Amino acid sequence: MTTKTISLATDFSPCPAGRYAEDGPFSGAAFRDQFLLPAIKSHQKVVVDMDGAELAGSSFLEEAFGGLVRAGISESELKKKLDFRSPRQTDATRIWRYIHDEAIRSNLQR
Amino acid sequence: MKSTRGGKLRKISDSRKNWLDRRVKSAWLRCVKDAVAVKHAGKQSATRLKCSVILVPSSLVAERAEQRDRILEVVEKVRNVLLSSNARVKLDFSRVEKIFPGGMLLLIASLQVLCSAFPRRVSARCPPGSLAGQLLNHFGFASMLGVSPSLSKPMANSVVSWNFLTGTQSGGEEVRDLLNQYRTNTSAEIPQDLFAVLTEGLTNVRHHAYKDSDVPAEFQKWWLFARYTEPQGQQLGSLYIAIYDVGVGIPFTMRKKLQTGEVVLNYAEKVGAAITFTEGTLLDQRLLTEAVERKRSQTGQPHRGNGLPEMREFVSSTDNGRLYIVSGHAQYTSVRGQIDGQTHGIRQKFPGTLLLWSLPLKLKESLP
Repeated sequence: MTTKTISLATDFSPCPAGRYAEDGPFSGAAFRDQFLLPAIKSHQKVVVDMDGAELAGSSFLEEAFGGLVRAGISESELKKKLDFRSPRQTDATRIWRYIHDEAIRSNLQR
Repeated sequence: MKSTRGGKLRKISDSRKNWLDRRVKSAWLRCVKDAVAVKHAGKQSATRLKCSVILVPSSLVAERAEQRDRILEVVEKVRNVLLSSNARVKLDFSRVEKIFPGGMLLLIASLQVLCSAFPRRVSARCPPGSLAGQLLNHFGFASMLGVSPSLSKPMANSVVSWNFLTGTQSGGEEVRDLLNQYRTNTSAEIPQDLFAVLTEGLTNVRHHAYKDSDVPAEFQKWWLFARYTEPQGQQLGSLYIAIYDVGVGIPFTMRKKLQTGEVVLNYAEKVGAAITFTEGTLLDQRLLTEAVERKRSQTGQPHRGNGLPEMREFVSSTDNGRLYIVSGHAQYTSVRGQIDGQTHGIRQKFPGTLLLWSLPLKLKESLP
């Protein structure tokens, strides 16, 4: 099984913020497009290590991870592939909530 | 002296001579005076402008409507003078006694916009060494307002502990630098979620505040003040943070969402008169409450709009933290220990949106 570990702090930014590219250099859309999507498409397991990074706001997290569902990756596939490592227990809970909410919305729109 | 009559010189009397001398001298003095007056009048008409002195209120506090309205009145007076005439404005800070981040931020942000639009027409008068003068200098506004840097050098601890940021983006690096300053240089425990909350506030400004706004592009920004007080022994410290923008306001944004159906208010609740889409205190209250306390619906949340609810959750999770949001005709205040807050109507429409956090801080736990 190929596993890719992405360190949010060292590979991307220790202070991620904002949703879209115009919000700043380290936005959720940038993290998703430059790191998450390529990793999920090419690896069986992706671990996002959030140690050393600030706890990001909802705009960043929702766009980065909820945006994966909007990009066509299903919630079930993300549950198989995506894992988190963080000193904060709430990080993973929040992210899965955004993924789940977007999955519900996407299903309702079909 | 001799005078001529019939071509022959005649000697005149001394008294006549003195009288003639006095006449010549007074005529000369009149000429000189007239020339000076003409020169002075020319200078006046070319460069001298009338100056209106406007007194800044003694308390710069934004949490209470009455004190906040006084600050807004000052801003309105300054704007009216600048728009209606060529007069200059001098703001008199000599009566200022109490300064809190929200009040100072409201005044300074508004002044920065006005000074940019009307350069060299607004100045400030601060007593030497005054708190107001030191703060203006500390934030880099001394030269903009003509305050002498040498007479307003930041010296007091209560001044140096203030921080000021302004920008247009989500501000991740700036906020991190600000919080790291407190984390490394102070003995207080800074809440972990604070970075998320603050950057979310700045992102909200970017996404919502200036949409459909007629504010010129160079003024479409946010302003942030932070003031820290060190905890001492059993006494808690505090961190006050204020974020302000001069955008359209939360009720305006929510009203548009109401019209498009993106937001639905619960019509079953008693709201008094039928809801209309025009401005009004009651509707603004409902819209601000909805924006901050948006509950989950059975259809699922839209993927945006989580920022304000998460700010509220953050404050309710702290011991005695407070959150104030002022926008449109409404003010939202979080209540200690309760997840839901209180919303009040305010008579005078508030320009833009002001977010204020008041966070008690305890000492960092000492390492074993």
